[in-house]
Amino acid sequence: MAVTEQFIRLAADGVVYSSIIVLGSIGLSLIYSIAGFANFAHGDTMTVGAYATLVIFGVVGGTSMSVLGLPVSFFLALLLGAAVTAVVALLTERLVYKPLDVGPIGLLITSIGVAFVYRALVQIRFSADSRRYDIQALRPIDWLLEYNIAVTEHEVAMVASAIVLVVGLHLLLQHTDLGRKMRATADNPSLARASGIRVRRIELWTWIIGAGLAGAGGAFLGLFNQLIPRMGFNLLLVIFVPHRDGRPTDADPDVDRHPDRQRVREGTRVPHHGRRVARPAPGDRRRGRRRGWLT
Amino acid sequence: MSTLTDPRGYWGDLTSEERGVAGFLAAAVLVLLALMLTGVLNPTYFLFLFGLGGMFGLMSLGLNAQWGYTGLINFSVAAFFGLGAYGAAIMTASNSPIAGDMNPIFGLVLGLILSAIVAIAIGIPTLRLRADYLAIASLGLAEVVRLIILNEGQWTAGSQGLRGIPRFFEGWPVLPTLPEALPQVNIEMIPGRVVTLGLPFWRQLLNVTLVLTFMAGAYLVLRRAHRSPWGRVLRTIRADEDLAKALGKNTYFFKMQSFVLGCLVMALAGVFFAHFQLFVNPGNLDPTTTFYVWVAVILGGAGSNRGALFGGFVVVAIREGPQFIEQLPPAFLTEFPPGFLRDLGFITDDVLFELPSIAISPGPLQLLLVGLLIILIMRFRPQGVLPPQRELIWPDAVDEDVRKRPDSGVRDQRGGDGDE
Repeated sequence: MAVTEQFIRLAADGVVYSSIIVLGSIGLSLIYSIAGFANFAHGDTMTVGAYATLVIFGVVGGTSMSVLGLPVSFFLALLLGAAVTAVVALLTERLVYKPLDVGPIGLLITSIGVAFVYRALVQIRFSADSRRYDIQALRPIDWLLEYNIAVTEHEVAMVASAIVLVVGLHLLLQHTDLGRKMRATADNPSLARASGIRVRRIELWTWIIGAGLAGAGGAFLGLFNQLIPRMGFNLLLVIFVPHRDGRPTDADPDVDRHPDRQRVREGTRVPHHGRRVARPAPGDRRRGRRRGWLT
Repeated sequence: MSTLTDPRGYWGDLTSEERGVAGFLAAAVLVLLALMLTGVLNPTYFLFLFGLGGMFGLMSLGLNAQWGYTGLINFSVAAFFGLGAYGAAIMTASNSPIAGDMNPIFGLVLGLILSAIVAIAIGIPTLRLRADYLAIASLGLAEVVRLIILNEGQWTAGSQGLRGIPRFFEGWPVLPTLPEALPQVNIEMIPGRVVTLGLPFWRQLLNVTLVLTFMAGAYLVLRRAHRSPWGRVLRTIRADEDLAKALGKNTYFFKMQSFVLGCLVMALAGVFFAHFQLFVNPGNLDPTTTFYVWVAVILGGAGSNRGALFGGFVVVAIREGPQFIEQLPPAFLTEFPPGFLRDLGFITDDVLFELPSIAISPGPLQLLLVGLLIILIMRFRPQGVLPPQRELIWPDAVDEDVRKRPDSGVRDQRGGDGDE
């Protein structure tokens, strides 16, 4: 049954790889829902996470104690790397996106510039050569090979960590105060503000969570393959894909997919790019947003 | 020709943006001429860069017809450029798996047809989408086209690339042999530094003539289209698509026409590239090119043809500039203050110190400069350096708080005629 075997093998690979992609695309979706633009720098945010983890892991060094073939210090480095990524994203938001006075398309284009800057800085510091974490590569787990599943312990660790992070995010969104506020803001920023939610604070939390997840995803991507400055940019297209269709709880998808109704729903203004710059009301730049994944 | 008969009046009619760009261009021309005459910049190499600039100018003209006129976000510029280049190469290259060694005119035709077909095929599903969906769909298309060209070796020779492409004027009367026939010219402005203009120079000059012809053709067609009623519909779609629909326009159809028109101009740039480089490979379809073209259009000012051309040349300057940094004498980078200042005698020895050497390879530096440029433009001048002048339909012409006209430089009497 060669076909079945191949199917099982591909499925196992797919699960591992998609656990990395999920971490990237969740952050992308969060930022899309709340900041209101498609962030083309998200792939390179993952690169930042991967290299931050590399540096921190280099400083901390390996420990003898290990879980699933990974030193405990790697998990520590991963968390710190994700934190560094979140800080980088917050700084970018504060210094680049916040002062801008352009529509969602302008923000999209700016994020391309941000992506270039991230990648260039990583490349200047670490050169274009590929690097690896200082972790012994493992053979696939023996007893799983009997079922034709070639998965290493590292990959099991990735999938498990991704599941932990995703479940954690789900609980956060569904059952905590912050999560409710985030969903409210994504659904209708003006209403959220009128209800007393500090929308700005929610935006910052969104960047922290989104970039943190991307950083963790980047570190796993580096563990799965290797680290090169283009790693995140190459993944960008793939992380956009689930973001398109992955709206598990949207009540009436057809309504806002239909272009005519979409326009009515979102207001008719198209982003400006003429000589005069739009001065939309505060919060107006989110009007181009579609109802996203969060609502 | 009011420029010749009444230069003062012509200058007075220009807007401040136009004056700024014209002054900048004049300064750039003077500096480049001086550099070439003194032998610092090789004229042949300059013509090569100018050819590249023209190629980027063509691509940004094409993108401007899509994004600037109609507001379509196309992130597959590199793909249409590549289709043009491969269309030309497949017909003319000596190792083409399908049909090599044909007249370059057939290559031109094939390149344009290929890109038009792909543009229509991708336009049908995506042009109904909202702006940022089109962005992602077209980014995907670029990757699909690149991978097809990379992997379908039986048509495209795969990763080896197509080589042995003739020059564009091969098979024409006079022109192919003209560079050989022209004499070698020696210019000696500074004694001891002879600038030689030989065969390579004349060949590049022919290339530059070709790209200038393409550019002029595309520019005139696009300007005509922009001023026509058709162009006004496009700008109305950009400003408010529902308004255009309410006026009875089939906006989908107009968007399709604008998309295909822009893609044809990009393919034209690709055709030029094939006959310029005489070699194409799948690496030429790198998505980074797309973003450089975007920088050019945004820098120039969306909606403005002249701005797009200007942006194309500036982008090439940014792309190629970092390579010159490497050629600077190392002392210039590592010593501060540099030697020539020390020789003046103002600076005593106690301020001398060694700077850490700046060892940045040109690749990432170029990326960094382009990235910073995008951010700075969007921050401080989102409308670009030369936004459309004397435009009658503003993107927000339908807003209540519309200003009636730009602040300055409006030629009242010329109304709809002089808009660009």
